[in-house]
Amino acid sequence: MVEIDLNHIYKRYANAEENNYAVSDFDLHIKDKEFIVFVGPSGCGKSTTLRMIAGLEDITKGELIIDGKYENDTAPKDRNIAMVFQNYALYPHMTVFDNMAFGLKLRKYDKDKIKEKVDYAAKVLGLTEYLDRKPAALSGGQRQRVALGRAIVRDAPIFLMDEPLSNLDAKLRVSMRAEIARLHQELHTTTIYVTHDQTEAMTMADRIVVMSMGEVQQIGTPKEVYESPKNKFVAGFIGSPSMNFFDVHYKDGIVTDSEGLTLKLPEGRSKVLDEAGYDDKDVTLGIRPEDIHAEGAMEETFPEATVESEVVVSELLGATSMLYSRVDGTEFVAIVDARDYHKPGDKVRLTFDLNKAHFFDEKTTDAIR
Amino acid sequence: MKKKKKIDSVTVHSFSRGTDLFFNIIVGIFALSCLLPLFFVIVISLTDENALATYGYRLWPKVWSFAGYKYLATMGGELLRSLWISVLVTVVGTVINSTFTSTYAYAISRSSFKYRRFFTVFCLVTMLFSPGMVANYIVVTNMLHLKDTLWALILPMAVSPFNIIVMRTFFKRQVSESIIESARIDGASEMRIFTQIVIPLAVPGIATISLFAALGYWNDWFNALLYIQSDNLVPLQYLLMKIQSNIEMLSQNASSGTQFGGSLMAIPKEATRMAMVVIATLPIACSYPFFQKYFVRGLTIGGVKE
Repeated sequence: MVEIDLNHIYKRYANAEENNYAVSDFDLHIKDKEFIVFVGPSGCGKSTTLRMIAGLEDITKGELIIDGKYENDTAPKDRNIAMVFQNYALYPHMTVFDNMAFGLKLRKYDKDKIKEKVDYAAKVLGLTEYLDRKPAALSGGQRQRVALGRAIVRDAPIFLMDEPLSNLDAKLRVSMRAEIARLHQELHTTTIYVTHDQTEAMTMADRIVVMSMGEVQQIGTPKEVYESPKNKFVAGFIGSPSMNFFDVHYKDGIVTDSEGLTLKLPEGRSKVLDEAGYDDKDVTLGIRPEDIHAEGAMEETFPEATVESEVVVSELLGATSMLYSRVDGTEFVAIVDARDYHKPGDKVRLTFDLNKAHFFDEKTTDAIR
Repeated sequence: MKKKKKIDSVTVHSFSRGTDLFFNIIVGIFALSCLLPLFFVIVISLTDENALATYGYRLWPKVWSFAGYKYLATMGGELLRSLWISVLVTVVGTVINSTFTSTYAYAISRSSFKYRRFFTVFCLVTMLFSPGMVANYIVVTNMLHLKDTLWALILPMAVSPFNIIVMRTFFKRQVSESIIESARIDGASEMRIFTQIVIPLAVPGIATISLFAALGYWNDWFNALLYIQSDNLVPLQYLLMKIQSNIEMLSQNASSGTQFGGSLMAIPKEATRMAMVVIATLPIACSYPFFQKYFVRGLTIGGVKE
């Protein structure tokens, strides 16, 4: 049973200015066996936070509690964690076996036990036939599996993974993603996983921590952060292609933008804006590409949320196609059925499912609910 | 129909025959320019002194002679003792030098070391501003009291700032921070990380600085001139320098018609000089192949994604 508490953690690097924190006020309780994913753009502080948990970076302010113990000043080797690095960080002069056994040898396990554990990990990861090879003789995927194996043999209750798949090609990434998920289900370790890939975050996490500029933007299940983003950043970051945003003026249940786009909101949505005091005010309207439709049935349902647009770029993806379209000066992207594929220059009627639209305060960028 | 020529990756990256020949000739000339002087020195050391006087320097002498080596062999025990001192100083000095250099360089190569800037500048300052001979002499003789000991030949060159900078760069480039962090998480102490992870990865770098250090110790005669008085501690280079000075002195005295004129006639001057060069060069030249096998690049390949 291992729980981790990050209580108002701050990190400032030695040469940074007084109030320039790489991570500020990071507050999170991680439950036992939970799979937590830190996600955010490069430089948002996710890896720094992970390294603070690992003990590879000092914590400037705040408390790190692991399993009820204050661990701010504990050396990495005494935190009982295993870590997988983005660039594998294997020992190049050692064989795969020795790479996996190194941590066990240091902990004075006897030889038979080491062999047993390494053999088990190698079997789980399909590395048995490569145990005598050195890392240079392995492919990228195999090297990353060795790095995972090194973590597995340790029997550590906490796994920290710092973008472990970002150096792999797309196909390998998908299979390794499934492998990590399977390992988590088998080993029941508390796992903290850092990535900038929101697909990894959505598919693997029990809970996602979305970060930007050193601050936590939202913590929630993948469904929560996708369906109820707390602010414009989270809404834009989660989802691919990202959410369309329109700077609009809201008045009497109708939103209009400066380029001529006019849409009537369903009653439920306009009620929310009215109650929040946004009548006759500027807001940001956000709508996901998959909530813009080309089917005639949708137009019949939402006739006042349908626009005549011109396709600028179209991409056929097999089952779906992406239409980068324009209404007067307003551009947006829609994911439609492959049957509704249109060539650039075609005129197409697109309907906005405004029941699924999101609204954000123009100044604070917080979601209006 | 003309069959399509198959092109593989080797063909794509290879030169045409003409270009290949051109580069081979260039490289051959370069190799000869390195080897020929050494060969020439060996040949002169084996040339009869009179033949040298009559026919001058030749690649293939008219008369072969071991007179130069025989003259040096008359010093027998003294020469062997100096050779032993030189070997001892070179081996011990190289081990000490590479240990000090690599530990210092490793410390300043790590971003987690708080005082790395201070110690880097401290090292660079000693490269840029030398304290001079007098200060060194006072430290070695009056402060450390090393005069007339082997340590006087070893310690003054035990740390090389240039090698420190070379190794610092090597550690920074070749030993990824994440490998060290990985070992730290695996439970390794700093000493174990250095000895079991960093050193094996830095073998090419350590071989390079060891070679520099070995050359420095082997060729050093100046420290012996300053600090060594006992005949038992004279290194080879200093002994050869003394022999050379003696020959010079005898030569000057012979021209002024003193009693040493006769003994000078018996000494094959040029051949002895070249024999000394051969004796001084050959052992260190023979050690090159041992170092060479460590000059392998790409030892860290595969450890981290580059």
